[in-house]
Amino acid sequence: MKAPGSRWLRIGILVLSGLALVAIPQLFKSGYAINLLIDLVRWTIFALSFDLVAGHVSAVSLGQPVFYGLGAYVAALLGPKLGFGFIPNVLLAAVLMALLALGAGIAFFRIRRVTFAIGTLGAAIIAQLVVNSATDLTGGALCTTGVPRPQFAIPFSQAIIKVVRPEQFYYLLLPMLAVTLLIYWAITSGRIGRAFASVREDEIRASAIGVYPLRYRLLAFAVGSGIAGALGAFQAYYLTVVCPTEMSLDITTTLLIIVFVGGAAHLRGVLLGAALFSLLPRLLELAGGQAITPAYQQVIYGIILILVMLFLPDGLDGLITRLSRRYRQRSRKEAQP
Amino acid sequence: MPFQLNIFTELMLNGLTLGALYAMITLGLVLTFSVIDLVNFAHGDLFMAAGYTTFLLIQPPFKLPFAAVVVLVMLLTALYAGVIEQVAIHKIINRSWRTHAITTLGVSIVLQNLALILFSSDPRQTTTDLATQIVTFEGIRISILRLIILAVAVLIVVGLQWFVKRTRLGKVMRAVSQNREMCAVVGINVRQIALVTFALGGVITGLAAALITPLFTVYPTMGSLLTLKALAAIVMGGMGQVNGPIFAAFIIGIVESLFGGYVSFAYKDVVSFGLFILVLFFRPQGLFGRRPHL
Repeated sequence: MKAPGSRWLRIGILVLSGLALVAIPQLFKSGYAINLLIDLVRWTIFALSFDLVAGHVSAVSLGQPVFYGLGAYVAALLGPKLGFGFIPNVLLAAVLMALLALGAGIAFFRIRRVTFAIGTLGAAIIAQLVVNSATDLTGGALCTTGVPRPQFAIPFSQAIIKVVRPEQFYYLLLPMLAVTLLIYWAITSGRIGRAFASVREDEIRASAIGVYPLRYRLLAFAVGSGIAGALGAFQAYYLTVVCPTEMSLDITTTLLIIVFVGGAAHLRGVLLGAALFSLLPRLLELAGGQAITPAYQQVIYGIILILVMLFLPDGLDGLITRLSRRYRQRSRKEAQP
Repeated sequence: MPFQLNIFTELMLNGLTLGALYAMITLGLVLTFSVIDLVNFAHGDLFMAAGYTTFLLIQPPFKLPFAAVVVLVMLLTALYAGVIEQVAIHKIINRSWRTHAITTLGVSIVLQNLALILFSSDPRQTTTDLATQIVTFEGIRISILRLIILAVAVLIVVGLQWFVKRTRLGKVMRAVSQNREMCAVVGINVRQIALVTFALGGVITGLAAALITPLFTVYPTMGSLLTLKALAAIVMGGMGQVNGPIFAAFIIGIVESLFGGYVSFAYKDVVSFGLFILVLFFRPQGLFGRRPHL
């Protein structure tokens, strides 16, 4: 039961925030603001890709950093060798990671869904170990350096734009957010979205009504991993170096906290979570005067995650829904005494 | 490198010790998995906490004798496990596996980073007389502690079988694993059994950690790899079984040791994961499992 105006309201909010995201760098030219925005958009894309798997088909993929990190290595090592520019390289990373997820998913989705969590966690731990040890290929802890700057030829002229400054990168990242949102919306609404929901809620009933669970899980896993790979490729260009730390398990923590504190399988919740947890560390930094060390941050995140699981299983999104329902009921009672 | 029998034998013995370690860790995980159907992603981190406790008790301010350390660490680890169960698991025990997974991952994150804050990321090492005393037999050298570990692992596996089949508490635990609602109906306190199961897993984990720590190093993130190997052993041995995973744990230990000795030391930890993937592809019901009926 949704209020009649809520659809237009939501579209309005989406358009407005889109315009705001485009306009803010023109208003605030500080490097701090740009970095913050890039962080925000990056985590939003990342969280949406994670939510496709962990939220919509309820398969907690703990291997998201693998696809992100390998995507970055593809962009740094493989793409330039093939003579690819920025866009083909990002697409290459996305396609390769989606294919890798398909292959891995067939193994991981066997028997029980727990094996998927185990398998992806294993992939995350092992991939980091391999990338650290394969020094002749990846440079190990010394990182892969010298990723070229993206270049774009302007049509009908000789001019070439070289992307160097953070705000230029930001405007490369925004279309990626738009595409991600589009993909997210396309596969979580309509027929596929309903199939996701039936797989999520009760897979035996889903298979009884002709929805083959494995197919939809693989679809969500492949798309989610592909997006993570593309984002990794972007990150490689942005930083010009790729380090094994890009595959750190801390990424999984942040993704878990964004999606499950925000509200899994709900766009509003995921966006809320991403905004909250990419801005919160900065705010704490401002309030505390100095940066909180990653270890303390992780402890706090872990505790928040446990508390939310214990007391707020639907996340903030569920809380908002409940509160607004109560508010609406109360105003209805007052309207008809 | 020519094949040398004594090197091979030493690698095999190392592999058996490793296998014994993995078997004991796997056993703790199997307990909670089979009794209350919970995959504990923080299990390796519990071992890490026990490892640091051992380290602290052997080092100067305390300098306790090793036997006292072992007993104390067993009790303390049972206490840690009990606290974790009460704080994080108790309330969500009847919820979905996804909630279990995320909550225990939360516990794992907290434990790892607390260890990082308290002890820094440097690996810590300590030792005891038993670890340095070596017996030589037909040219093969092995420390007494390794022999003790092997014997203890066998004792625990056999003892747990006896406990589960013969004692009243063991029978109750088996009943809970089969049908939680029915147990509640006939007056078994399921939540209490969950707590006891966790504590028992803690005792076994503590024993393993106390015996192993003098031979290896402890560091904050060691738990992830151990959890992974124990989980791999469970999947390889067949989910829902006890003997299969124990056997698989020994296989992982031996293969890892041989791989580390003959092929590549840097990549030895990849072995368990590789075996896990192979099993999932070709024998998803586990090496010793029957095909699940869904």
